[in-house]
Amino acid sequence: MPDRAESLPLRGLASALGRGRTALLRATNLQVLAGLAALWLVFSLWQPGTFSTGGNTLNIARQGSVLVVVALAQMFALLIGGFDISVGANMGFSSVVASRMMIEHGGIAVGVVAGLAVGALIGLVNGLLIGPLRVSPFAATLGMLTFLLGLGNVLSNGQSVGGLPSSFGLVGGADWDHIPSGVVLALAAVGLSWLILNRSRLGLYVYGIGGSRSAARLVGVRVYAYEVAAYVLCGLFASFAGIMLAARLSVGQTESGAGYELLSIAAAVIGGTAIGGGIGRISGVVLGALFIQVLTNGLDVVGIGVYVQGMVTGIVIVLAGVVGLMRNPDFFVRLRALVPSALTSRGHLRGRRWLGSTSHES
Amino acid sequence: MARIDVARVIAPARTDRAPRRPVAGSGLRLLPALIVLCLVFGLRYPSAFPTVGNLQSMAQVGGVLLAVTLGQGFALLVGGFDLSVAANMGFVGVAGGDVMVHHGLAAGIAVGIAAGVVIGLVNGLLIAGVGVSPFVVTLGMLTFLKAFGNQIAHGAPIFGFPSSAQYLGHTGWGPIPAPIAIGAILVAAMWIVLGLLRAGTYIYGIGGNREACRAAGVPVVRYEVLAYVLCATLASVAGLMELSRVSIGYVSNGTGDDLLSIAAAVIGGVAIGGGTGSIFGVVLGVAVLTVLTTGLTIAGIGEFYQDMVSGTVIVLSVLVSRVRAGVLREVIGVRGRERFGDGLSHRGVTTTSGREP
Amino acid sequence: MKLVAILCAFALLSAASVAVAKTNGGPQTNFHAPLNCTTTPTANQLLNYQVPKAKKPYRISLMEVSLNGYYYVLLAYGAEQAAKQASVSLRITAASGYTTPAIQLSQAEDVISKGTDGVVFAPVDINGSVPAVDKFKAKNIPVVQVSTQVNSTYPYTVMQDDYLMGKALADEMHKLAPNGGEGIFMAGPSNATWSRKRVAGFEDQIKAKYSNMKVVDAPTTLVDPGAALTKLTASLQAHPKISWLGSVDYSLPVPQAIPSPYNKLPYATMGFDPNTQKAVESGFVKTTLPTDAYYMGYLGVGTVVGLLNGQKEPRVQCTPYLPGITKANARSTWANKQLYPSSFHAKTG
Repeated sequence: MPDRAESLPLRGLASALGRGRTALLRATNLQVLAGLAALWLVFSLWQPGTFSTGGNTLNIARQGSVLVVVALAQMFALLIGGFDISVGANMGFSSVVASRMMIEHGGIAVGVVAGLAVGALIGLVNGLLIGPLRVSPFAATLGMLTFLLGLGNVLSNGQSVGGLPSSFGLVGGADWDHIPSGVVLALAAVGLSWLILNRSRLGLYVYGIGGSRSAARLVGVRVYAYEVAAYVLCGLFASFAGIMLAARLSVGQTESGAGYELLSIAAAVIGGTAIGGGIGRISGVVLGALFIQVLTNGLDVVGIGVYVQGMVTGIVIVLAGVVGLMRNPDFFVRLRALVPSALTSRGHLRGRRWLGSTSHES
Repeated sequence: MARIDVARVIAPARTDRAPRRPVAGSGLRLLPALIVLCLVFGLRYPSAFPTVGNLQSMAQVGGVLLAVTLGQGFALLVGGFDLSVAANMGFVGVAGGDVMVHHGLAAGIAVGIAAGVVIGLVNGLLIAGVGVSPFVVTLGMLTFLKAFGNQIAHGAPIFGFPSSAQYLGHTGWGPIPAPIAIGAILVAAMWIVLGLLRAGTYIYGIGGNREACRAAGVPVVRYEVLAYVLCATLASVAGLMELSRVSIGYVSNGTGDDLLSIAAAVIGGVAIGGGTGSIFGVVLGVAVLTVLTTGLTIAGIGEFYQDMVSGTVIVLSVLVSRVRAGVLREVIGVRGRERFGDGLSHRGVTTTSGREP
Repeated sequence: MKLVAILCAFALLSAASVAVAKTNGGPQTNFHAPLNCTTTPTANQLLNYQVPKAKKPYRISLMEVSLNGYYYVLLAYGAEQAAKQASVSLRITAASGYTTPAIQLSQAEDVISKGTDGVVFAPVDINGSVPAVDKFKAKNIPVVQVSTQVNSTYPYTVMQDDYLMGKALADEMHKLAPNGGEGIFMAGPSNATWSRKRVAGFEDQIKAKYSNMKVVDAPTTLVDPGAALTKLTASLQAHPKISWLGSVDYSLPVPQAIPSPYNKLPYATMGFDPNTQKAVESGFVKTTLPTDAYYMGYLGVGTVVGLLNGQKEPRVQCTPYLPGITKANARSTWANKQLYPSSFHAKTG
């Protein structure tokens, strides 16, 4: 396999993309950071005694570490041009497998390895379905999600798996000398994904395939193999998040990951990862996850009614999406064109040259 | 000023897809699967499955899912999707239900449908006009609607509907269960929209290649918004049907139908990414899912195993339809035509990425 | 060939899944046991219970699973009434949508941040909510668990005995259908302890005392009236010749939704809300055993205040489920204590 020959054009492609993208994405990170700072300010002023305390900050860190890891998992799937709505079920299923192995076959290490292996296997199946077999990511991961919920409940007899060894808490629940272990593990996950995405050929190809699948294939990249790899990584990180969650809760439960599939996509998207692939930075994903966590924690701490919390969260999610669009200069052109077209019922875009002027029946 | 025939402009851009056929085509592949399922359950449980009573009860459940899935089909056809349909159904159950209790059936229906139109407008304007991704918009909408519905209901059930409300979903129109009767009317109406009206051509076109449509002068934003309005309105009608069927208005009405409707549509051949799909396929997809879940319950299969079977069936049915689309050849390694676009639509805001999943 | 390899991988995977699924093991809870009650007040005793006056203006937190449901709002109402009478402040937390143990743990941490003296706690999961209780234990904050238990010896308990309720419902069912026959018993979620205990109690009592009755199906369903109705209608296709109908919950399914002619059959269930009251009065429901959500909140707060006052409180208080509510007493004081005024809005904070 002519290694060098196939990598050169792709490298060129990637670096060309990279140059243009870096400036854009740095802007994204700044925006999310600004949003995060704004949230922090608002909540701190609202409830000075309770929100910005050391204890509450630690809480946010503990709660957020799981979300960061599963958002990283989702990022791999998003980067390659798909997504994975089975990550929540993956988390729960892995926690059940890890817990049972831990209790029945002696040892935390055995349990953790089993849980991770199962997560990678789930990712492998997803990847094979979506890559070579061309099943849409939605159908494949929805099927997987449903299947895992069923099998997870079978393995756990529909109950939560308790009675875990107390030292298991160190894998994400308890503190290592005042630092929440979850934070350390999340940082390790961030470091690992950085290495994969920025210092390995796999990362290069993942971005390339996400950017343009057909171009990547033309250049000779074995697209299927890397698609599968991306989903395996997604499954692996998701199961890691599930094990961390089990450590925090001291219990393995099939439903414990419920809600994380949508939250992880939201965190990644807010952080600048594009649905459709090719764009996304780890720093953005981490910031996006923190943003969601601070929002949830803050709304809770300041005592906003639970229903209003939901409404505010919904609006904030959409606003974050709109703000994300403002990064693109075309956006304002579109908006300006939208208004007159709504008034005059014509669909032209002003300010753009199209194939001559066309008239059509309104 | 030359008038460009939209259809001719759209067609060449969709070289990677078969020309649309609103009745047959992609969905037809599902028919053998449906027949096999019916045979398996019918032969195994001859006294329970192939009876008029069961047909009626399946029609009752399936009618509601059909309405939602028809709506979801529109969102999928223009290249997006709508995750808020289940929350929409629950919201209408509460808001429309409340109005129905205090002001009568007609007012309740009117409010329910109006709510759907508004929800669809908001979704559509944000997605098509502003350009936010359907995932973000409909996730935000779903979160908002669930909370807003709870705010209105304060946890209490809405009940005490006028007796005429039972014809929306609980009682039959003669021997035909109400949901399937209403479903049939909706199917006919949507078939007319997609097959006979200009809007249908545009909706397929926008899903197939948005840029080409815009270039041809199609008012893309308007028709995409229309698709999302149809989606949300159909979901609201489903919500009204469900509140009558279940005889209560709860925010949780319709739980699960967001993913189920997408699954049914996808199984029925509506492509995620837009441009392909038929009403017939949607009907078959709904039928397959309904027959499957009913059969499994009649068989007394535990809930956990039912989940495992459902998950496998979803994946298998998509696999089967993909195999017949020539994927088999591709996977085995026979050189085929290079497939550009991979069946995904291209959004217009950025020129490089931005494909919808 | 690639395809063959992939298909082999899938076949292997499915075989492995099935093999794994067949392994015996995993958690085994005994659902067939009643609670270890310290006291079992009767309905009259409960109606006459007075909340103790607080010695200091304590800050009490009520942590609920959710506020989406009549039961939860009623619990909050009971707690608020008690808080007013005891002169303490009450803050309610709940999640909307999913409440997984993770969210409840986060909320416990938030509640401690905000500052609290005592907690009335409705656990999400018997094992998964233990860390949340441990957080309170570490700060010596008294906890009264309501509506279901956790695997911890720390909290006091105020709840209904689901197993005995199941048995009592079987007794009521027998009274409604003395000639016995086959029947369907609607169960709740297959992973909900309260539902499994009620089903266990019901089935045990039928086996023990009513040999002329037979449960032909006990379909499980999420707590969603739509899903329950769908399951019931499918089950009715498989078992069309039933003589009675029972359910673990008043909304599974909503009584008015039961398809005819089965809505003429005697139907007994558990729980209460304004629609159930209407259903009982119109004959759709013959008997329902109340679940005393009001008293979980009321007695729960009362017990916490008592503990903070330094009084001795009973460790496990089992709330009464008799008398059952029938057409005769559908508007009695006892039945009305199972409802909250329609103007009440539970506020979280």
